[in-house]
Amino acid sequence: MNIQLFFKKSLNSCHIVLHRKTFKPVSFKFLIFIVFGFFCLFFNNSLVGAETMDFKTFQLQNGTKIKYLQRENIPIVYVSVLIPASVLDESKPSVAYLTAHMLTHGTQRLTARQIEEEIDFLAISIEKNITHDYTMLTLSTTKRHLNEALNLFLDILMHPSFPEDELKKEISILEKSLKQMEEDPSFIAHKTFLKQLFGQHPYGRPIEGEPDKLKDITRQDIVSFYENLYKPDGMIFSVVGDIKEDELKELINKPIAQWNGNRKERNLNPPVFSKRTEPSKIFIKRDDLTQSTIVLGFEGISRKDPDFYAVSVMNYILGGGGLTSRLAKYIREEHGLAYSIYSTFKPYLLPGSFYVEVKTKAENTDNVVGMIVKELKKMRENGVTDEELKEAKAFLIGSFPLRIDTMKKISEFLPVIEFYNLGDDYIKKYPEYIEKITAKDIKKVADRLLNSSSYILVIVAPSNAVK
Amino acid sequence: MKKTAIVIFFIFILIFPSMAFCEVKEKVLKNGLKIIFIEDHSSPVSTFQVWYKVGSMDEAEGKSGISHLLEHLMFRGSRNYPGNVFSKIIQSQGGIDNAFTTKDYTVYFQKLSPSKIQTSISLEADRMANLLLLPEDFELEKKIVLEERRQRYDDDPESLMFEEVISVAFKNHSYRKPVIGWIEDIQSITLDDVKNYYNEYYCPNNAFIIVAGDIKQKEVIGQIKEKFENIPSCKINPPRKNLYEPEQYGERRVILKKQTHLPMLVMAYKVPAYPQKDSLSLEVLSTIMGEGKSSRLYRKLVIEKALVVDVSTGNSPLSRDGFLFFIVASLKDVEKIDEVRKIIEEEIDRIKNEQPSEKEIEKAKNQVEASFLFNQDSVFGYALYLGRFEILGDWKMIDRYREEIIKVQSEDVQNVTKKYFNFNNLSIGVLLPR
Repeated sequence: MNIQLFFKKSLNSCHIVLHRKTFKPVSFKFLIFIVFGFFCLFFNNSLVGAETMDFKTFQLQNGTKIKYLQRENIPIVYVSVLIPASVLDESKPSVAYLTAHMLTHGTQRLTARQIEEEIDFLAISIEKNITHDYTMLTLSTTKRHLNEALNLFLDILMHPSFPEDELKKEISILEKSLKQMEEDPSFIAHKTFLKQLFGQHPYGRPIEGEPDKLKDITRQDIVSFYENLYKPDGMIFSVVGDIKEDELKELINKPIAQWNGNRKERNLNPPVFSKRTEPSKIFIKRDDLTQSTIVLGFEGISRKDPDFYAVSVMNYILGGGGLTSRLAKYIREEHGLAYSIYSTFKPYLLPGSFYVEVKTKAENTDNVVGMIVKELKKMRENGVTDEELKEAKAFLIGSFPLRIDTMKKISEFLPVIEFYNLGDDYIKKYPEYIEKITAKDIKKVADRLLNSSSYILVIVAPSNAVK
Repeated sequence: MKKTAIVIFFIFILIFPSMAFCEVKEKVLKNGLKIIFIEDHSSPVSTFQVWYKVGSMDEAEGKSGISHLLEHLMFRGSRNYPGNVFSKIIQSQGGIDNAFTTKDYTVYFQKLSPSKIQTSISLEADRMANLLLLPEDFELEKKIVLEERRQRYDDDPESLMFEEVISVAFKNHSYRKPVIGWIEDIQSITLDDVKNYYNEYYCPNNAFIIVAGDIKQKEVIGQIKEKFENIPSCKINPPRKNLYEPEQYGERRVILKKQTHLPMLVMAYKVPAYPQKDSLSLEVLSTIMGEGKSSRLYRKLVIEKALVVDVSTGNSPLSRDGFLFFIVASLKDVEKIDEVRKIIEEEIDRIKNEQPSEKEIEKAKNQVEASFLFNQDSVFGYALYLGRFEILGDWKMIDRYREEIIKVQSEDVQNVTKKYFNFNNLSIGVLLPR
């Protein structure tokens, strides 16, 4: 564990970051606020009132898109780049993860040590976020160090050297970290659930990969992944902060425009879900634990699915809406059987998953599973009330601006809008999309998705948890 | 070298005075409740925070966890808003709410549209004055808190390790107790205990409000006054324990065996808190020793020796009382624990014998500057940061803090290393795979 996590009071605790454990010297009323679909996107990111989000889009000759929003109130700048490269494109597990992480381990100009030195000295950060669909890097810098920071950022993106010895070190660290993650009951429950649902499809494995497959990875795997996919024609940049348009053109657009190359077409095969006629139950025994970690779920939808907004509203009411959701009210607030309980769905480029996660004292396991199934059935059979629908819509629409209330969140959000083809007017349109959902639509998607008779159930718990 | 230092110093003088980018004002109501306003119109959002100057350090013996349990109960209804409706009301206005308890203070907050801030004001005022505290809610929240404890500590060996190290580092000071409380204490707390605690500490004169974001001070002040000013202040000041920590003789050590893959080594040294100046030199030391991949310990242990997966350091100067400077390493191999500890101590000795370079000091200051700026990207985060200074006495101390930390010299860093990094001030935790 990193001590910075110990001190960091990350208030937006997001459940999709399965492996990141944070020790907090504080105790929260509840660990999650609201978990609804679209990874953390809908959680951490959101929409500022359209009138203040007059970002510009530049399209360069080489195909790169650059979104730009000037904000001069604080002398800092964020630059994000979305690269359409992920587990979907891997020849072997871990390759997408390692490629992104190896970018800061050496370029044609700088060694790994020089890069680390420069990042710390300039007090900048380069974060790497690898999702199931894409990779995103975000540079944070003060205005004072903008020039040096951009030089470094573009250097690691355009000219990485992937030194062999650095790769070995990184693999050794990843292997140890993965084995540590596998001790975490939530991680292991999710991993098992995804494997059962997606089978061999890349969505069925953790983004970080598998510890025992790491030995197969060669430098060439990383180089090929980079050469095939890290090309300017597919990249979406966003630049947000204290930077003028002529500076943007000089410092960002110009060097990127000189970068050429075309990426290899992505080979997007949708997952093939195998039919189940009864619940598929997996029990993983861990006698060192006091609680059961329960993941119960099934097939979900893709981001482009027309039911996306109906599922957003339904999930909010079922288990996405923090303590006010049906599952939290029933299992936590009325019966005191859990501290954290939520449902969520993962709408990827291709169909993803829908699941409920809860942790409860081992002896309550069967009881809580029964309660979840009961709520799923209730939603399928009776749908939602008018009051629930009204409140859910008010929340989803009203909390929109909170999801992009910082420049950093905006910077990470703009490329995603583009990537999923949501449209530059998405911010303005979102209330409309939500507003038109009816109780009938929700009944329909509940019936379509909530598989209360043949779900996948994973329980990580001590032996006494199940009879 | 000397010249560079002077130039750098001037750069900082120029930068730092202009580092607060939004206007902060305050007003104190007749009942002693202070309101801090942060106007920032960059995003159409606002936050309303009520801070109570009470945390686990104020808890009586045998009642650990009572601050946190009360925090949970604050969501179970008040006279004008009975039932489990707080979050429901906030969410149906498009807002989110939560609360957290620390060893030093307790915070309740909402993030919502500026047009809905009246909702926060009404709800928070009512639960400051008229909390219901019903027996059935009390029993339920106890069960929920016990589940929380199982999830976050009992089933999480790394968190448990920290809990154990902190509890041996202090033998008398109440910082030794976990915020969430010991299981037996949580179980034995009565509803009357909670009621007394609420009456003693949840008073307007023991609290302050931070209202921040796209708001106009002139508009919200009237609304806040109307709801809060009539809440009576407590006749006697909330009880404060006379806390002290007797001298430590010898190193303390705890070894924990749990199901884990990576062994973990935690070294904790007792250090003072701000406004003691040493706390600032320790901040700079932490940056040099273990923050970032170019830091000394990371270089040595992760890169050169490849003995650990991660190593980092952390100090928390904004505490009500002196707390701990941590060094934490996740090891690859159980056999190497002594070796890793030896290397860490050699690195500490290196600073004792030789002052850190000007470049390292400059790096640390660049990081201080950047974190001040990045902090202000989120008005919510900035409000939380400012509140921590108010807990220490006055939010305006933030300026002094900034001024003082840029004046830290290599010599100061060396001096605090000599002063605090000693055998008789050290507690060690070792987490081993079972």
